[in-house]
Amino acid sequence: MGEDTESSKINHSFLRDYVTEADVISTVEFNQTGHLLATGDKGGRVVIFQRETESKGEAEDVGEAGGESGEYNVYSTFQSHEPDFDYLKSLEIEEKINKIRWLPQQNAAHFLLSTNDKTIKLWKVSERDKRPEGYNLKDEEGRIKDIATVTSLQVPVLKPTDLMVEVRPRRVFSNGHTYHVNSISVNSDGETYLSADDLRINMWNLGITDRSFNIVDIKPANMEELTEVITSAEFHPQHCHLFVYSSSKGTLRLCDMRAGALCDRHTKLFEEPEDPGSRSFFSEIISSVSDVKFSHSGRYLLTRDYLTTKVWDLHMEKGPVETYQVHEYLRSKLCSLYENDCIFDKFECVWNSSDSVIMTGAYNSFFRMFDRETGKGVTLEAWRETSKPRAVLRTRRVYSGGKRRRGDVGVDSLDFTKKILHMAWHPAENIIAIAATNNLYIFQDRVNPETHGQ
Amino acid sequence: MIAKGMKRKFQEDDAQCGSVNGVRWENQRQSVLDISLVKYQHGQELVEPSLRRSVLIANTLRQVTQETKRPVEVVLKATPVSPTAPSSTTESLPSRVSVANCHSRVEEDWVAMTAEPDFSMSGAISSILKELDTTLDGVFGPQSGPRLPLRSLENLSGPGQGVWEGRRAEVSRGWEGVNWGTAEVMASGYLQDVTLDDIFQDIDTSTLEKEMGALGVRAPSSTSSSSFSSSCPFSQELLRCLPSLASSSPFFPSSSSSLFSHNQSPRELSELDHLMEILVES
Repeated sequence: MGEDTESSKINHSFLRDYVTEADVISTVEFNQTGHLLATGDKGGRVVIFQRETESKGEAEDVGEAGGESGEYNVYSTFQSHEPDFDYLKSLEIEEKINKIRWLPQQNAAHFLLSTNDKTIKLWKVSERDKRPEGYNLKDEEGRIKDIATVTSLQVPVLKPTDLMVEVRPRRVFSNGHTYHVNSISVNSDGETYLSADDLRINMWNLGITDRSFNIVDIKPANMEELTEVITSAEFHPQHCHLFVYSSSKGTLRLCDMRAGALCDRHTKLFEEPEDPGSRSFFSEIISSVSDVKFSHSGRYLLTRDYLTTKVWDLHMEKGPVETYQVHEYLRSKLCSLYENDCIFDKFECVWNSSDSVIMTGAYNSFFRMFDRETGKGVTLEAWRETSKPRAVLRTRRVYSGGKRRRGDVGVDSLDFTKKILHMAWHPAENIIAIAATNNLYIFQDRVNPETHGQ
Repeated sequence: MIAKGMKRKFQEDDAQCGSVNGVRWENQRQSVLDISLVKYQHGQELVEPSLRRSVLIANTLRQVTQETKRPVEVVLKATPVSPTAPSSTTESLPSRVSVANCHSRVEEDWVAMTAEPDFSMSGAISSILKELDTTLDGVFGPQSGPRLPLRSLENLSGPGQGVWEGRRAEVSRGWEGVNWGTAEVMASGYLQDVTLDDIFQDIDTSTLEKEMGALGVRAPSSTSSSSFSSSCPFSQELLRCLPSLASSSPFFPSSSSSLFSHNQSPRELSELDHLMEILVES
């Protein structure tokens, strides 16, 4: 990293490692077709990527189906939330985007919901590629013409222009939450959505911003008795009356809104009994569920706690049907991880389109994929190994005893600042988007670009 | 990886976290306790206090303090005076004040003494969550009130930290020192407001208010004007907190406070002086 004093070149190598806090990506989400990909960051910005469509001629030559090359390019960028201040409680409200969820597309425009800790906003993303020309009363620049100069009448015509993407806020859902919003989920009915904070879940109508229904409230009358908070919530993908929420104690609750207006009493409680053999001071913290996702079929639930990711069958409450160890080698390091706060990291988990593979993040820029049919897991790394865009990801291994292979990473040399917390899987194809601090990685499966089965 | 200002504990293997046996477990427990207290304090100082994080830390603290009962069994078996069923009585400690089959004074003292840390920590945890509630629900109004009772700890720079370090050595010395040890920890560091509750309970707060007001007026001569302006609202906030803490202690309200006043009245005055010094400094 030495400086070259003779030439005028400046050594920027130290700048490469510097990450602006505001650029850290905090959420990633594909839309229902996978054509658009939205990311939110800590600075309150949303960046939308669009999948490039190749021209018909090229597609036929290459032999790819659908005519899409798989490359995502920036489509639009906008500032979703601004930093705010709660004067009553003397607290800052972060502009960090916690979650983005797309609405199902109904017309030419796209709609998405984005939320920070307190306020949810509905944004309309529309394209404009034509503009009217030939006004009678206005000239080209929009200035009002002098009536005396108008000698003939003409009909304005629509002329094509450069593509312009407009993003406008359509609804602002504010003052619905006292605590920090951690999840939003759009209902399959297309009319409502839920938002969950630490202690309450509200249901909103997409068209009404000044009212919401409170459907879950776990705040105790005496805050001293508080021992559990809500960590994540989601609507069932097909049944508009069902939703699930997870807690910091490792439980999942399935609620049916037909049972009552307030769903404080769950319809089903999913909880795995604690293993007395592995009990420690940190048992509760590591059992806290950080993310819960319904499978595309609606039959299963995927959850992530600190060390494992589990698949649950909605018909079986007594325990998960599958458990996958994400980074079991950290179990002996829990005390240190508690000290440096890493034990509180909230990892997300995702299903693939056919519900046959699940994926979740870890440390050191590693992420894990588990094949449900074989039960095998693989570790991959999100890192710019080479500058080639088509480089193949190689599998990694963390060495924690036994025979050490070349390329293995030791547990003590893991970088705990490089966390893969947020990710998304394309709804139909094997394309994944991984957020690594301020970088977004998009990987595509070249062997099986289309999924088999469902 | 170790927080600033904290002593590093010798830990052979983190994997021994869960084992209940002996000194290593005790060290682990103490270490987790210390870390949790510091953590909670830092959590409050964050721009965005996370409720999930605070609740998890509070639950861990609660679990760690409940684990303190286990070593009691070991000591009880050692003393020949104790009756034949010590383990069952220790199990019932958190919920019942009266202990069945217990007639000797030694047993009663043990019950009270082992209940002490439980009461103090539970009281502390209660106060933690109450602070959270008031912080998040804005009960205290537009001023930066909710944070102030804990703010004094931030002002405790060198001397405060040193005091806490010293006291910790006492706690690990053994169960004879448990009452003193935890009481000392409470007095000097994080759980300051809980000790104040016990000490000030018998004192008429109206006279105290005058004293505090007088202290506040005297402050500008010794400290800067900025600290004066913070010490005045702080002392008012502290007084407002005290009645709430007095009512919030759910465990052994009369028995332990009476125990305190009987055995430790000469100590109270020196404690009071010590606390007044801290308040003036902040």
